[in-house]
Amino acid sequence: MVPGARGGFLELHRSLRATPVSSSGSVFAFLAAASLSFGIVQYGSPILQFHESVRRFLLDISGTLITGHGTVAIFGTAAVSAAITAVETFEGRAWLPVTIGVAELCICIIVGLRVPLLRSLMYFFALLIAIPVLSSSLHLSSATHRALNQDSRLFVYTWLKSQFVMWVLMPWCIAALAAFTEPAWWKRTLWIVALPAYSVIWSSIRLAFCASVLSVAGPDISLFLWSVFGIITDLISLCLFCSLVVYSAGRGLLNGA
Amino acid sequence: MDALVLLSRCVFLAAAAILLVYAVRHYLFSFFRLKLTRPEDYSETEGFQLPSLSVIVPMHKEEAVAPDILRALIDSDYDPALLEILAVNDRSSDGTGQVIADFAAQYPMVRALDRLEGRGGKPAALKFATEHAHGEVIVIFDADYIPGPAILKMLVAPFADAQVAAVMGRVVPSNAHDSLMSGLLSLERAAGYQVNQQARFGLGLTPQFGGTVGGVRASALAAVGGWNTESLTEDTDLTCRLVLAGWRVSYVNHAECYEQVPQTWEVRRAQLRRWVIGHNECFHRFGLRVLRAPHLSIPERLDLFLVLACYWTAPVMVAGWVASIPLFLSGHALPSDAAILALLVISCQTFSSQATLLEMAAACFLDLEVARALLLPLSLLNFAASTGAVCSALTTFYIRRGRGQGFTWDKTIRYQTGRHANGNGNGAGNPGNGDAKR
Repeated sequence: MVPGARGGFLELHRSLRATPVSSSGSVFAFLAAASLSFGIVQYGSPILQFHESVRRFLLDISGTLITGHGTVAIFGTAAVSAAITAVETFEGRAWLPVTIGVAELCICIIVGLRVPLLRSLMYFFALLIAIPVLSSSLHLSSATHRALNQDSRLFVYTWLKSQFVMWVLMPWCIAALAAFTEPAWWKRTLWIVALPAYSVIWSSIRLAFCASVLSVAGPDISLFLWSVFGIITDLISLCLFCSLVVYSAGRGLLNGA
Repeated sequence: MDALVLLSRCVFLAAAAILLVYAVRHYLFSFFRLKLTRPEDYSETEGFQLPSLSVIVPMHKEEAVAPDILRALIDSDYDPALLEILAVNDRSSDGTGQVIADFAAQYPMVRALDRLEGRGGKPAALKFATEHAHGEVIVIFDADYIPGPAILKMLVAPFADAQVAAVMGRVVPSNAHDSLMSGLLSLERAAGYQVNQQARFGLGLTPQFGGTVGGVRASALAAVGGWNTESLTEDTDLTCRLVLAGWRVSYVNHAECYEQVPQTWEVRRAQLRRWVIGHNECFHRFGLRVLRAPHLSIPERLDLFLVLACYWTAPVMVAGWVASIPLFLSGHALPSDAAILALLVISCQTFSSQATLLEMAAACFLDLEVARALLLPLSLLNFAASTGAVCSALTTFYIRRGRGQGFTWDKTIRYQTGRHANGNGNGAGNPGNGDAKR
């Protein structure tokens, strides 16, 4: 578009539009993503340590009981000593986790019945809750790893490993969009750096929250927490950033920037 | 227990591999489309004599919308001497027949066809109308669409290429602002046409003829046996038969026409059910034949096969997720970093289909629909709901097929009730573009 001209007349028809970013601009963005991914792998331990310190701070505030520490090694390149929190075991009150589970199931089913668009999601959540509850209520202890019932060690290990993979992949995910849509190189770089940075902080908050919930609600909810507050929340973050990138780049084009 | 874990691991990794193939495909399409500066639009075709054209509009109880589309077609800039409009009153019990008769009495180019009995569904109506059509090219519109004055020429231009048997235009939702559902579907449609169809055409693959806002060469249609009235997706069925017979399908991105997308999930689910069942029938009928077609290049074969199998990604995702549950609970997800990587691939595909998300984002950007881009996070809801609906439809398909039962055509509910303005896309910033009925 000609700078200063009124957009409505001079914009190309949308069927003919393409990216305003040059090939070198795209290469720059992908190099930025590659550098960041490499940096996350290379400096994994300090990043995990920062993640852990934020989580520890939140656990202290919430008063969640820390029972010990365990070392999590990821891909042989990063390691951190992570705080392990207690998990409610409901000794002598075996009926309580089943009651909680049934209540959660009812909520999922009611919401699913009342909101058609959420039905599949709610039924999937119900499945995530029902399987561990059934497993524990039928005393199928051999089906569940005993570490899940002792403390949050297995949960924290799985969380940190999967999150680390996510942090390495995220610069690429956002670069794939920003490289082709955002004309300003500094904005492109900002988006590529912002998403993993946000993810690290947001992950530590979510893990602290999940650990606190496990300490009062027991291990039956761990699968649900990991799926909903782990993977699905990461994807919502990714969607959010993608929408912001398009919004920002699109507004820039419409304003003739 | 060990056997269950082993089975879960196999299912899990197989699902991840399948979904990764689809993800790579979507990424390639998005990058290609974003970089495509000069798409083939046939606007510079020279020495091409406009062919005689039959426009078929099947109408089943379309009294409310019939005058709009007939008026729009009459106002077309196509040479009236070469144009006939076949308005089919398809077993309507309302005033559709009278509306058509009134137009036919007033305008010689409008021909009223009454189909009073016979099998229900659009394919049967199309077959009936095609028997009465005289044009070298047949263009089809659903009754609730509003074609712009220039669209017929745009859709006919690719037929200058003697190898082209079918042409598809772009469908743009006009009620994107009417509900959350229609807003989310407008994202899906934009990704499907602006990015996916355009990229497939640009890459020399096969765009899909969609059965409306599209045309077919009459001789090619006859050569492959006409419309398949048994199919719920006669458009996909025809696309496959044409491609297997050696014809090409073309896509014209600027030939835009407006439609009303479902505004509630119940309507959307019924529409999706029909698509899934019809599409899956085509997958069974043509899947292997497409893979073995000697005249198609390997990318063409693979892409068309992936298109036909696309609804299978939903049960594959669900299988991957279900397989991950025993892995998580038994602690077997932990020792293997590869398992976590695979889980992430499935997760990405499951709850947002990250690569599809990129297509939606790219489409929003190309359309400059910046405000609509903010709906992207909510597309997860549509995605999850669609996954459930697709699995349910596939289950229905196999149960009914096993019992030897057929399928009936469910017409999608219309929302349109009156006349409205129309424009034929001049780009974003123009309120007529996709937002005509704001």
